[in-house]
Amino acid sequence: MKWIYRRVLLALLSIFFTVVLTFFLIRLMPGNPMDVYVQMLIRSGRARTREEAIERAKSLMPLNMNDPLWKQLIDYLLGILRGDLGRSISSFTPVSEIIVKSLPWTVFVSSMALATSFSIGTILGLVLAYKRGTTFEGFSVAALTIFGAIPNYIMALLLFYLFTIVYPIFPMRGAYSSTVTPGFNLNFILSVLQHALLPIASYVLTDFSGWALGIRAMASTVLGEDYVTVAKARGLRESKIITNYVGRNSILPQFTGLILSIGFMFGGSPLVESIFTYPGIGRFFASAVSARDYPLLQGLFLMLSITVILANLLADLLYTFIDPRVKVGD
Amino acid sequence: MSEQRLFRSIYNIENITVEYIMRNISVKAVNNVSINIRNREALGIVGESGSGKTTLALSLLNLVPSPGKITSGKLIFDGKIDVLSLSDEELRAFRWKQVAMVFQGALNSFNPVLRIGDQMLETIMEHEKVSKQEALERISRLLKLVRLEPNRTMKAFPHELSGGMKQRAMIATALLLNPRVLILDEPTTALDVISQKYILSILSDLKKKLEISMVLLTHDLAICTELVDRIAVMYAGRIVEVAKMEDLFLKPRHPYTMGLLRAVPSVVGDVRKLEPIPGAPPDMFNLPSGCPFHPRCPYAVERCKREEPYLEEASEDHFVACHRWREV
Repeated sequence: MKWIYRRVLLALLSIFFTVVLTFFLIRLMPGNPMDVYVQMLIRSGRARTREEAIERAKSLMPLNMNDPLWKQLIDYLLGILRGDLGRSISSFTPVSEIIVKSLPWTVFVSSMALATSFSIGTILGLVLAYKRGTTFEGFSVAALTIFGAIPNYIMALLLFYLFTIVYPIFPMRGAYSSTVTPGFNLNFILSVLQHALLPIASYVLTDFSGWALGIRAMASTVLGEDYVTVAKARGLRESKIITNYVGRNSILPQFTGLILSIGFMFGGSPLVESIFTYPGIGRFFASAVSARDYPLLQGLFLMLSITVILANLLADLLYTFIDPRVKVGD
Repeated sequence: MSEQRLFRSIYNIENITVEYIMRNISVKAVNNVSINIRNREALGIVGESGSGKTTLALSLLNLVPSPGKITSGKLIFDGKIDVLSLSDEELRAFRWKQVAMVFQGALNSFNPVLRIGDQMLETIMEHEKVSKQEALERISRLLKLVRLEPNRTMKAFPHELSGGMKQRAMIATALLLNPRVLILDEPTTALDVISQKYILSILSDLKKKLEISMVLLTHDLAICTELVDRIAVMYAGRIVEVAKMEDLFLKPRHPYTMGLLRAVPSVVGDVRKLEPIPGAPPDMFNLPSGCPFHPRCPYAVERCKREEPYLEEASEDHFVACHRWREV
C-alpha cells in the first residue's frame, strides 16, 4: 500500500512543478496584458489618447502587476491554496467561474468523441489485423494513415464549410439554439446534440485512425502467439477468440492511451472550439492567449495539468486490474 | 492383412503434403506422408528440427498456419470423418474433441490474462452441454491426474505457474474432452531433467489408465523408449522408416536411423563410441535430388541421386524408404 502514497505524492509534486513552470512560461510570451488591453482600447475607440488608454488599463490590471515575479508567484500559489484562482483580466470574471461554466461543454464533446473514436478504432483495427495481407487491409491502412495525418482543426474547417455553408444542415455557432430553454427538456437536448455533432465529428474523424492502427499492430503480434493457435486447436468459436484472446491481449497498451486521453479531454481544442464558436475550455484558452490573460491562462493550465496527472495515476492503478501480470509495487 | 490394419487404426494419414507457399518459392515441409495412428498405441515421431514433425502434427488438426497449406492427401479419422472436407463449424467441433494437442512450448499456450480454470472451463463449455458443476468436477479430476493441486491451479494465472506445472496443466486441458488422439509436441523440451522425468511418468500413467492414442513428437530418442510402441523417423519432410520401437532400435534399416542411433548413447545395446551423422541437416529450400539423405549417406549409389525411394515393407510391420535397405 506504500506504493500508492508514493505515487500520490509524486502526482502532487508534478502538479506543483507544472504550476510554477507555466507561471514563468506564460510570462515569457512576447507582449503583456497591459499592452494588449491598451491597443484594444485605442482600436475600439473607447480611449481617445494613448495616455488615457494606459490610465484606464492600469486601473483594471491586478494590483500586484508591478511586484517582482517571485512575489507574484507566491501570491498566486497562496491564492490557489485558498481556492482563489484570481480574476480574468479580459472579462473581469473569476477564473474558477469561467472554468465551471465552460468545462461541461468541453467534457461533453470530448468524451463523446473519445468514446466514439476509441470504439470505432478498436473494432476496425481488430478487423484489419484479421484481414492481414488482403487488398482491403492495404487500402484501409493507407486511408487511415491519411486520416490520421489531418489535423483536427483542418477537419473542423472542412466540416464547417461543407455542412454550415455549402449544405447548411448544422448550426454555425454556439452550444445550443437561443430559442430553447436550457434544462432537461427534449428540445434543449436535441439542440445541444445538433450543435455538438460537427465538433465531435472533427475529433472522431481524425482520431479513430490512430486507435485503429495502434490496435492493428498489437493484434497482428498477438495473432502470432501460441495461445491463439492453441485456442483454435481447442475448437473455440472464432468470436470468442477475437474478443477474449486477441482483443483482450491487444487492448492492454491501448488502454493506457485511453486513460491518458481522458486527462487531455478536459483541455479541449482551442482551434476546433473557436471554429465552431463553441463555449468550451478550448475557446477560452484561445482568447486567453491572445489577450495575454495571465490569471485565466494559469487557471486553465492548472486544471489541465491536474486532470492529466490524475489520469496518469488512474492508468497505473487500473492497469493492475486489467492485466493480472502487473502487480502494485512492482 | 491390410484390412485388419485399417480396422485397427483410428487416424489414417494418406499422402499428406504440406507446402509453405511464399511469394516466389514454395517449401514442402511435409512431403507425401502416409501413416496410420492405431487405436491405443503410442506413436513416436522422431526427427531433427525442421524435419516437418510439428507441421505434420498441425495438419492432423487441419491447423497449419498461413502461408502453409495442405496441398494434397487425405485425412480419415475413425474410418469415416474426412477431416479436410469438414466445414468450419464441423472442424471446430472435431478439434480437441477427437484430436487434442499439447503444443511445443506449452509455456506460452495459455492466454496470459485469463485464469487457468476459466480456460479449461471454456474448453468444455464450447464443446459440450454440461452443467458448470459437472465441468468443474471433471477439471479438478484431470488436474489431480496430472498431479496438480486443483483449487490452486484453477485460480492461478499462467504466469503464476512454473514451466512444468503449465505443461501438466496443458496436458490436463488436452484430456478435458476425452479425445481419441493426443498429440504431444516435444512435451519435455525446455524443462529441467526432474520435470522431464515427472512429465514422462505422468504420460506413461495416462497411457495405462486411458483409452487413448498418443502421438509423441520429439528429437530425443531416449524419451521414446520410455513411452512409445512404434516409431516413425522423419527426414526432410518425409517418413523414412516406421517400425515397432524395439524393432527399430535393434534392427534399424534406414541409414539415417542407424546414424541417429549411433549418435545417442544406447539404451538397449552395449555402450559404445558415439558417432555424429556427417554433413548438415538438409536445406529445405534446396533439397538434393532423389533421396534427400543421399549426400550424407555412406551407402549412397548413383540410383539414390536420381530416384526418390518410397516406403516398402522390409519385414512385418517395419517400413523403410531406402533403395538399398536389403544391402545395408
